[in-house]
Amino acid sequence: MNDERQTVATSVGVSSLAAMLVVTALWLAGGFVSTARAQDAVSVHAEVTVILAREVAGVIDPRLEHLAALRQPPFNAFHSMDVYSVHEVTLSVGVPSTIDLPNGRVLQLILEEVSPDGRSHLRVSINRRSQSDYLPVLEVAAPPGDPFFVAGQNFQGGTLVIGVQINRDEPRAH
Amino acid sequence: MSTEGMDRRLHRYFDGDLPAEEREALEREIADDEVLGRKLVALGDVRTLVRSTAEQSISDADSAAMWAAIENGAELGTSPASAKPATASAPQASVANDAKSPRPALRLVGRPSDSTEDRGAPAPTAEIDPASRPSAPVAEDPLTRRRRRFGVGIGLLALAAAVVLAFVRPGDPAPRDGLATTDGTTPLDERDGIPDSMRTEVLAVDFGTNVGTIFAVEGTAGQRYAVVWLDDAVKIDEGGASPEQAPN
Repeated sequence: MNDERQTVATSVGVSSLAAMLVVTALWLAGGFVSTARAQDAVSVHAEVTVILAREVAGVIDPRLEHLAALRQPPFNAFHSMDVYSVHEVTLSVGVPSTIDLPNGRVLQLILEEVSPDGRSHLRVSINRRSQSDYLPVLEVAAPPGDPFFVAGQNFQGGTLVIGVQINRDEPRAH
Repeated sequence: MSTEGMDRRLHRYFDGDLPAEEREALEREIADDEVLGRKLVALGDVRTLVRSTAEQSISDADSAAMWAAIENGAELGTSPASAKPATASAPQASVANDAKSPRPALRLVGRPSDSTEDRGAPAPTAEIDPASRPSAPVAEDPLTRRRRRFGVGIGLLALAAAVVLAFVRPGDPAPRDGLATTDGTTPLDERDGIPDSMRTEVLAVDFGTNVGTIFAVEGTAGQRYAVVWLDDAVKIDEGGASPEQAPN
């Protein structure tokens, strides 16, 4: 009789554990599926600013005056900054967006996801076409409104500074 | 050897407890001594008499009433031995109870070999037929209780884990350690009171064959903007004679 009770008790425990595992697995699967579906439909707007910075004396483009970060070290070593180009792009999850840079390389942006805290997870690369010669992979979690910079490429005696900023408008679901 | 000693040997022989040498010696004595032979026959008669009497008592016993007494004793937390079994006061009622109850009838069990009954006059033992053991509750031993509690505990633990998972989204970002910089600039993850959700965070970077660093520059309102700086070793600038270095 004790063996039967022990068997029953063990069966109850194992059955409970199995049931909970099944429920948890189904919940996780449902969560991932729903999250994936929601993320698939999300897109954000981003602004990419390509700046040519030089150490020689010159002027700072007025469009950059609001970026106090570019007056902080090490950027304060550049005494002239020209906005070479500005690109407005819409980033959708998993869809690459490319921007041709003046030095022949290509900037590629891929929105991986928009995390629950509102930051956009971006995968960035800068390379010559069909090559991997400069920045193979950069993954960034960027909050809306805060730019991040990729700098260091040589161009026309200066240095390219690329600023990427996710716009503050809410991520859009399609 | 005294009569008492000889009787003790005879009992041991009857029970099958004598070593082979003593058994053979005693068998020779029994063959030569008529009294010993009669005593041995008498021991067999006593065993037969006791057995038949015990069987009669068992068959008349009210097993249903005994089970009820055992169950009552178990429910009261007393040992089954302390419960007073009913006697064969109502055999007919007992038969009726046995007919409608799953509780098994008592039966007499003996040692594997009937020729070596215990001490010549063994006390019959009431045993439950394993094939018909009832499912009525009895007092649990501590080991079984612990095992049952362990099983229930596993179930509760799994339930608690499921509840915790229900409140933790699988896509929630995990906290990350700070990134070290190779120069004197401010590390990105230096804690300055700004929550992670308000700062740019470099999750991963592959500089390839170039030399690079990650740091942060401060905005007017104390924001920290991430900067990834790579020295460009490739000459693709028409005017550049050599790769330029990051400004100091």
